[in-house]
Amino acid sequence: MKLGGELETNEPPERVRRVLTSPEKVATCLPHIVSWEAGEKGLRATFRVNIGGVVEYLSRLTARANIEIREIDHDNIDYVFEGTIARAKYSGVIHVHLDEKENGTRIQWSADVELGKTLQLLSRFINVDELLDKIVKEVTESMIKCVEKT
Amino acid sequence: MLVFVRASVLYRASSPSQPGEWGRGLASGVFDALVIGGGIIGLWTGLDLAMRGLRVAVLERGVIGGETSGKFHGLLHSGARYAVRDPVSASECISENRVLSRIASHAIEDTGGYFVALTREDEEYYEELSKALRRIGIPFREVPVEEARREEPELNPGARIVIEVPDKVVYGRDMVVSVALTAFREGALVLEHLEAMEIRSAGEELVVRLQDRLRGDSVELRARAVINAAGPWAGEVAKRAGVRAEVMPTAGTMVVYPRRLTRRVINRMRPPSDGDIVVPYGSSSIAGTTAFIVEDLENVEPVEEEIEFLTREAAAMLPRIAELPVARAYTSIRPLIRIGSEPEKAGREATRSFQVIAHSEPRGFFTVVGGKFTTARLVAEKLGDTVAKYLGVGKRSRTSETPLAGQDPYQELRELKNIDGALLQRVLDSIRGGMDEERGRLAAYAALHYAVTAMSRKALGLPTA
Repeated sequence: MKLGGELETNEPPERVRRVLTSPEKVATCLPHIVSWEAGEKGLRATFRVNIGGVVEYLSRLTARANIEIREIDHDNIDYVFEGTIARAKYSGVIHVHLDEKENGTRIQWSADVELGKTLQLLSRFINVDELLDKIVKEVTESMIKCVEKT
Repeated sequence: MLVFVRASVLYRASSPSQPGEWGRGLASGVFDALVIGGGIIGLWTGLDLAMRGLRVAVLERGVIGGETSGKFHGLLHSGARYAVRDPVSASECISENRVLSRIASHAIEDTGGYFVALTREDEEYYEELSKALRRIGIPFREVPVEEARREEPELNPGARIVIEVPDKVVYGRDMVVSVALTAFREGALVLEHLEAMEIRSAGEELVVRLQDRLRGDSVELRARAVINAAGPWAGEVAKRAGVRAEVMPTAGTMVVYPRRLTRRVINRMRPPSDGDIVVPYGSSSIAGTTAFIVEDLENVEPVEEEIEFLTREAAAMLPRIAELPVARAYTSIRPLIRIGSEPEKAGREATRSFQVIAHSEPRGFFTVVGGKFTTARLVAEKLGDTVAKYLGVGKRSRTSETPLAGQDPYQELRELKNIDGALLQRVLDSIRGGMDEERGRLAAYAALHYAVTAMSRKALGLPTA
């Protein structure tokens, strides 16, 4: 499943890059973070995601993720992740490209996500692409807000 | 014209070992409605239809209340959990909370409930929550934290905001048996160990071929309407009628601790998430719940990681729970309903709590999907309206205004006069009036359960062993 988007911030690229390549900062910038453990090149995190009305009695579900941060070059960062949510597996890569613009930074991101079999079953009942898009967007927007606050 | 005598039915038995053993029966006749599924919704549906004067039987392949209805956490919702995201559902909950408290107070403990904010993020949710509660009309009051801690000494001392809502606890077995008993008294049969294998049209009627799981024989029952109230198994039952009802089973785990730590239900003040509730259930505490998709309905077990997760989340609200041993954990299956033909529409309407489907073929076949324990009576009322209209019966539902039987299970058992239970009756009589009378109520409900279902099987000429 491929997703993508673009965000802008008034922060300079170097500042954005510093936050986005720091495992501790990435951990604390994840939305609804429950707990985390940072290593040298990545982190392990437990956080909550909004699932909307998928399951009638819950708005949010707890997810676990192992995330490896790879600095490809000065302007490009890859986040390689794998984890579980609701006993189902998921994995993928989010690629982030930073572009300097006047008074700030343009951040282009693309994601390639693979869902485990049980998550794929959900597609008979809900628009999984739309749900995943919302979740990934929430994560990326949370990261940018965090950059601006840090 | 066939004359119907209660519990008289035309049926054919086929058994390789003893052909023709059954089949004498009493006068021949046809049920008005057969309800497939003996969970709380199936039972309320049986009661609702029986109270409208219909001849009805509830058919359960296992034991009534033995699946989802016997494995939830015991919360009788005030609706507060749903107030922000699903106000319709929240409104239904508070309404049913009041109805059930009036008609089945013997099965309900008025514990009250707290919502507790522990973090700044939780505090930020309070404004949205309180506005929603006011809009819907769910009563609540903000409780000073010192007062909350005096009332509930086990509460996390770091609580920032506490509100009180009218959450209650419903004792699952007491309620299930009370509904079944009342339905039986109204003339419904409540039949266990009969699995619907095929549902087919036969002229103006439907024929349900059942496998008797006690003996392995086949039985056929006829009815003018058949209702599929099989919960997570509704999809499978629909297939056996040659139709589709898309039901995806999800499941959730609950953890039981052998000590009741609070008087009240304790909820985390945040958008409903996994692991945000602890229910005081009898002398235990139940923490819940999680959610995951299930592929094999017959093979779902809790996993250690979930038990640890639920304990951690519960301990955030009630720190001492982490010091208690885990008595056990169990998993409950619930249906995720698919509404509409397109996944996009399904996603948008996924918050609706139940759906009644009137299938065009076979005519007279209905499926109900979704619904929770708190709103089961309401679901059955809506379903009853649909079925009664189909059958040309103008009577309205009376379940909301009629107290349930089961207030005194010891006495109810005496009144049933189940001859086979004479010895058990004496045992229960010996418990009554002594120090164990209150603890023995569950045994009395179990005896009532047996009496109702055994007498139902006998009325149909089916063996009970």
